[in-house]
Amino acid sequence: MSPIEIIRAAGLSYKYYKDDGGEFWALRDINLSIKAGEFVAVLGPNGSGKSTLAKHFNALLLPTCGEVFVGGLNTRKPEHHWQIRQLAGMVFQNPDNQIVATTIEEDVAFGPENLGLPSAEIRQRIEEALALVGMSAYRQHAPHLLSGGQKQRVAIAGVIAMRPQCLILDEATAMLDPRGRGEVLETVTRLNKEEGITVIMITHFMEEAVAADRIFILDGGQIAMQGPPQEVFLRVAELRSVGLDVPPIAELAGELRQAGIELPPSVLTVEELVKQLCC
Amino acid sequence: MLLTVENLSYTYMPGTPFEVKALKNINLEIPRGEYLAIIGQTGSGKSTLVQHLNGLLKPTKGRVLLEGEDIYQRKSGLKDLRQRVGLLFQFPEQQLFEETVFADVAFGPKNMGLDEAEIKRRVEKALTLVGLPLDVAQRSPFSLSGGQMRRVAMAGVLAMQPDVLILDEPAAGLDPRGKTEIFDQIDRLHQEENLTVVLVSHSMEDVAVRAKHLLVLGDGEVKHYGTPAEVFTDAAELEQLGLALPQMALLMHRLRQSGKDVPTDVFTVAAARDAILRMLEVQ
Repeated sequence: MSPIEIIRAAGLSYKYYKDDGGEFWALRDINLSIKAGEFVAVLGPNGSGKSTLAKHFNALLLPTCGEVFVGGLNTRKPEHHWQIRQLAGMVFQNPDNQIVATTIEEDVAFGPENLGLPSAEIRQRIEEALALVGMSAYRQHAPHLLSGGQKQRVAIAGVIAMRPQCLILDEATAMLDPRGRGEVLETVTRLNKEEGITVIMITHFMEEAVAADRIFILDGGQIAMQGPPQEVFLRVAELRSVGLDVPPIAELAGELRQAGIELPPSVLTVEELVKQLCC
Repeated sequence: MLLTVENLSYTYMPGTPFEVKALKNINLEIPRGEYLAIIGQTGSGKSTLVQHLNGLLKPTKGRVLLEGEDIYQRKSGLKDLRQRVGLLFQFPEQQLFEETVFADVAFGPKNMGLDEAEIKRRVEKALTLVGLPLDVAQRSPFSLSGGQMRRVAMAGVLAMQPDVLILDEPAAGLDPRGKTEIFDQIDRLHQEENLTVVLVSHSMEDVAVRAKHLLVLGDGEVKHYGTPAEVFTDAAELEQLGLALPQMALLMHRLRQSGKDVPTDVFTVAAARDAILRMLEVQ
């Protein structure tokens, strides 16, 4: 059985109006298809259209031209929006801007309460969601006393409690320290592998994209490159020309290959390189 | 000695149930021309420490000295201290408030009581130092990109011509190119303007190759102090402190654990390549 398509963009373009009245095309003719259960990373320099694209995936923005389908539903139809936002949940950059309640469990309950679910069902969903992000022990805690990584995991739990098929992270790790970033990445990887949730991760961190099945590189509102990380990160010069970089280990592997050492393209992490060099 | 931290301890909300000992007996010397990076996990006391250096927080115990004088007993007062020790907070672009870039950068010099001509000279110099074209001066800071706004904020501190520039995570949220640009800019200020730099950062790759000295904080205490080569030798201990080694240093560490003979002080891709090629030759 071929996997089901969860998101499709067809000829998607989006135009902003600038302060001075001028126009700016943030997205130009984007065509892409994301399958259910995929882990996709979207990379690109500041201003390349990454966040604008992500906001089209749950109908926070509507295309100026073209179409976006989420779970087969056209985002242009307002009557679909409720269902689309339940299918595709979004976590934003600043953890302090998206936590609304005074305790963790109340915060996670916000979404399910708005779905009008019975309270026993809400309780069950909170428990499940907090367990999935490893935050069960904190259910009675106040959000402002958590670390950044913990807050983002709570925000993810709030989305998970809506039982979405797709989790969109819009630079959700940008404000976190390395440990917090690790926590969030580990959490979404697990949700993807074990729960089969589709993950779309917008990020500046090349190391995070290594975990993805597929990478899209945006530049100037267009898809400049796409493919699995093992392929995309071989194209060092192209990545640099759009202001991005390759993970340092991928760069080193490239240099070693040039010096005549045989390494498979899958070498993107310290562990893999050590394995190659020591066996 | 430009800045000295002596037996500094700081407790948040002492005598309440929320009491937290954020800093415990810190000793530190920052000579003129230093490029110090302070590293440590979130909650290790990094930001608390730098806020003591310009008198935003007052030590619970111990002292901070500027050129040998206790910062709270200097005749010229705290205002002068804050002009000489400039602090750029995290996400400083959120603190811009004026109608034009010029007015925002001029805010500090104006409060110093400088005359119009001197203010104009300083604003223009500061904008040049951070790599912004002078024609942005009359624009609203809010019409600029995030990276440009951050430079405007930095120019606002530089316009006071401080001796020390303290930066708290200056590259957070920037893309790889923006990050390299801002770190290169700081390097240039350090080298060409002889500015003393204190950098708080999680970016191990950058501090390893740019800073002269590293101060590792853990749980409010100094866990390590030394050159990057000295500090990154003890990989196991750093990992215990929740700190990531720079990728190349981590690679060398793992290779040594697998019984390979490679050096410890490797932080760049080029150095790692050479070390691995040598290692393979010996085999």
